[in-house]
Amino acid sequence: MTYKDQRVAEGVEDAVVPPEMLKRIAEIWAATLKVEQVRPEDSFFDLGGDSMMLMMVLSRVREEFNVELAQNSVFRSPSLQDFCLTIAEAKSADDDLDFDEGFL
Amino acid sequence: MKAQKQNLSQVFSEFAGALHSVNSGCVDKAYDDEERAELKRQLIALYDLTATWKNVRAWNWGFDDEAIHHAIQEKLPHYNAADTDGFSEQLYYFVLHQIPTYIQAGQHVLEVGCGSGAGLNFLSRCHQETKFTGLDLSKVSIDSANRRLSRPPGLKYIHGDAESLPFPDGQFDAVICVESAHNYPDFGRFLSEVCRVLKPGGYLSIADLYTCDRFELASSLIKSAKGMSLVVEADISPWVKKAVRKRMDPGSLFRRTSREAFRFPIGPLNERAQMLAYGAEFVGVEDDFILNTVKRLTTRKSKTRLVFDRYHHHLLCREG
Repeated sequence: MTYKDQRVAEGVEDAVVPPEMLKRIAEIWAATLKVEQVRPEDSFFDLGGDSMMLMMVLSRVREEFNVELAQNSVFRSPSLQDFCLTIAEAKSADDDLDFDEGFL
Repeated sequence: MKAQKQNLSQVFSEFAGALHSVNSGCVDKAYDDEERAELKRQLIALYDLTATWKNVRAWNWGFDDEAIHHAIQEKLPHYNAADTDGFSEQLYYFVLHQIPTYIQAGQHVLEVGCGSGAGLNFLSRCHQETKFTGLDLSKVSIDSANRRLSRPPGLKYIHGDAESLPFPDGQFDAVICVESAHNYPDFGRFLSEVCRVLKPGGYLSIADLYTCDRFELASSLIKSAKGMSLVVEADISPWVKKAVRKRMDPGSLFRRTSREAFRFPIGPLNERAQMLAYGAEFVGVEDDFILNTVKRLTTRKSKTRLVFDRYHHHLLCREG
């Protein structure tokens, strides 16, 4: 079993969302949804988010984190915590790609 | 030659004594400045001496994980070819890649206790756009690393003390520390120094071997560290043991190179000494007459042998 499989099996892999990223995305959500505070377990749609707001959020994420997310990625994972994990995964897949291109 | 031999045995026994002092007893011993300086002198003497040995093919106990092996192979297809088994490289890759911020162009990573500099050199080849700085208390290691490996502007080595880092506040995006912290007489001071030189939101990733006592102390210092919060504390011994077991195999590259570095009968003795230094007791190597003899010879003076029976990874985040 690899280290990563083990962490996932223990259910602790979620703990590794960078705290400062969680904070920043929470700010973006709060500003867009016009709410005061967003907790990690809050769902985008429960807070009154719609598809227009979602596009605004995704565009901010693209600017600040340099990562392209599909609209439906949020439908699959509507909580802030899950949303951050999706960005983290897309981001790391992206980094590998950049590197390969640089190498070829 | 004789003077050199005497010097060697004195250096080894002082090193063993200092290591014993630092790693036994679970209370913070609060050495005074003079005691700490003396401990560091005794520890560094050995690292200075071994810094120029050419036959070193392993720079830590290693890590063996299939996912990490493949990840490295995609970047550097031949990383474990020729004169290395790749386990030392895997441990470095693991420690850096547990940091959840992204290895981005222009980020600056510090390694505290870089030794020969080989680990950081490897990471720098994996991430050519990242800036790496290595720090070590052994001046001989730093000089040799700068001569053989440094590659400005992405990779450089600096002489300095982990407990008094020669850098301004908030300079680094991440700090890594691989099998070095067990040498620090004042682990708490090291943590506060790292916290000082990290940017807010920056990470410290530590992998190290521990005695039972030292782990208790280090773990409690980590959990109560001012300005830093613990993100992950993980027992990584299964993956370390996997690598160590492969190295302890009689036909391994590790054993062959350490045996062939010297002529008979020094060769087989060096092979056993290297095995003991790289975790033979951690995996409980099967009865080996020469190994047991070397073990007896090296424990005669300190009487009790240090038992490094756990291996952990810690990830800390500097609060913003």
